[in-house]
Amino acid sequence: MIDSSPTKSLIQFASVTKLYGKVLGVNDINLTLPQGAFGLLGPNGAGKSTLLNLLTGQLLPTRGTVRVLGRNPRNNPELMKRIGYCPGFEGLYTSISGLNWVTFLLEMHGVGRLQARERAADCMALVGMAEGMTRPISDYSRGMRQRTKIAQAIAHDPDLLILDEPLSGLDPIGRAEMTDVLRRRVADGGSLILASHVLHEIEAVTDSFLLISGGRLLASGTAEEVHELLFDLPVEIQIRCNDPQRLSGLIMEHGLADSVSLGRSQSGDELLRVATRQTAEFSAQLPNWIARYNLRVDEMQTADDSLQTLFNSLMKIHRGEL
Amino acid sequence: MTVLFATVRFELSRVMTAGRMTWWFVLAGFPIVISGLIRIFPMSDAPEEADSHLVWSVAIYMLVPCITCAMGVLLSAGPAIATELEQRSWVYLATRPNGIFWLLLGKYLVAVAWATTAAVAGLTIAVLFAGQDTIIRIWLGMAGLCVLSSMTYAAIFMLIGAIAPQRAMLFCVTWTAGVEGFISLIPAVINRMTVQYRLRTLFVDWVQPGDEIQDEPLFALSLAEGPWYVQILWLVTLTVVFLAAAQVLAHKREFTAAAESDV
Repeated sequence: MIDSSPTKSLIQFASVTKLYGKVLGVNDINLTLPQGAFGLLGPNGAGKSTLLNLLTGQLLPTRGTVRVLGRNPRNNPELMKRIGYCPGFEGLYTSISGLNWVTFLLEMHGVGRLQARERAADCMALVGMAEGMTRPISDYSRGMRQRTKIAQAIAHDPDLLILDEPLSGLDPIGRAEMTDVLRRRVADGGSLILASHVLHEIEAVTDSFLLISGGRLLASGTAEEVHELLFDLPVEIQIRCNDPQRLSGLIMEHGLADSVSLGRSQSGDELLRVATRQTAEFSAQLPNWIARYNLRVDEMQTADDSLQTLFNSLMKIHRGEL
Repeated sequence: MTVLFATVRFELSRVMTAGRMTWWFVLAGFPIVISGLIRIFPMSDAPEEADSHLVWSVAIYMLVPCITCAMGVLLSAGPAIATELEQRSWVYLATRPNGIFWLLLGKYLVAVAWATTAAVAGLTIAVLFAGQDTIIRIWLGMAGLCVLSSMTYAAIFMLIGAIAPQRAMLFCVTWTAGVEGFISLIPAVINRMTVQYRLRTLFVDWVQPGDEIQDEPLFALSLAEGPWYVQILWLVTLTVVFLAAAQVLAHKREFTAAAESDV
């Protein structure tokens, strides 16, 4: 699991709980992250936005303490100089241009007007807004607004970038371009917290992630580290073959699976889904069955290397299904 | 100071829209129209010359420093926080170094400037309808009252906006009617805490509408004692206290845009 020395840590949550009246935002989160890039992954309503609001000092924890770069984020101007935040909602002034808006936000960091305008123009160009930056924001498409939001977050070159669903509303090209911008920041040593409910958006930028659901932190670390926690959990294997009923019978007969189910793939083919903890034994038996019972396996897939499997497994644990 | 200038410049650019400028002209036009109507349709028992100065100065005092200034800052300072929260732009500013402090201060200064300029523009033309040889005295006195009125009411409305952003306008109107309209006229100690009590005293001192008004027993009890600078000190103190309270509240409260549904 991720851990680091508190003095050099990126963020620290110590028994942090946040309640909105009787509604639970996040529940008893203990976490210390080192400098680096992390994906904050969880379904809608999992508590991601609450966590980010606690990180940026917009919310006070009901219980526990939050530290960002070693400091309390609440009303902390020194820390705000080092943080760039892109919220999950728009909230842009529509009557002014993107360039003027980013310039103003830079000026709020104490940057002189001319320098701020120059830097804002550079950042707008960096996010692919060189052409439209002088137009009023009301004329922007959703993707352009998203790019502008990212520009204001990175304009003052923060040590820590906190992004809430930064790729939502972008077309595939925009996603690729913005992912590239974020990757380059990470490669240059910048720290990043990237919240998303879409797994591959996070995978494209970092392999370290925090999984949150129901206000609780389910897991944190790299995919490999979380895998180590899950080695005793069943691996899900999907098999497309000519006789899935026969194969499922054989698997159950030999007691090699925790569960077997039949379903259909997106293309309509019948799929056999096997959850097993005895992958070695299963792999040894399968060729024998193929030879003896004239089975034809067209495709066999363990989504084991994908974060999706981890995510699914952790969510099942959280729901008590495993 | 760079940040304050930037905030004021940015907020000024945001009020230079067709909609906001229309309101500015409506505000400026209000005392002009009413004064024009008074001039065009004089009272049947037209006052003597001395009374005319009293009538015009009281009318202009009510129209400009009281109504136009209060309305101006009501429209600009009252919803200052609410508009940022409603359009969800608050967080962009709150995550800047001392962002909330500069934002509120910048919005306050722009609100005062917006209301004062409208009021003084209206005053400048409205006072011409008075047709008095005391026009300059009335104008100078009223212009000073406009600055003080806008300055103090804006601070009060900023505080109300920080206390109840979603109902800011309603509470501002209620405060103005209840406290400044009613309580300030009660001849008791409580009226000394109102802005009107101080403004009224300065009005009598600076514009000198006539002895008659001070001879009225009820009105005399509604005027403060002491020189003009004491009244200004009171107004400045009230402004600083209300503004500071608004700042403290805005920093203490969790004005996050994340609704419970966003958790």
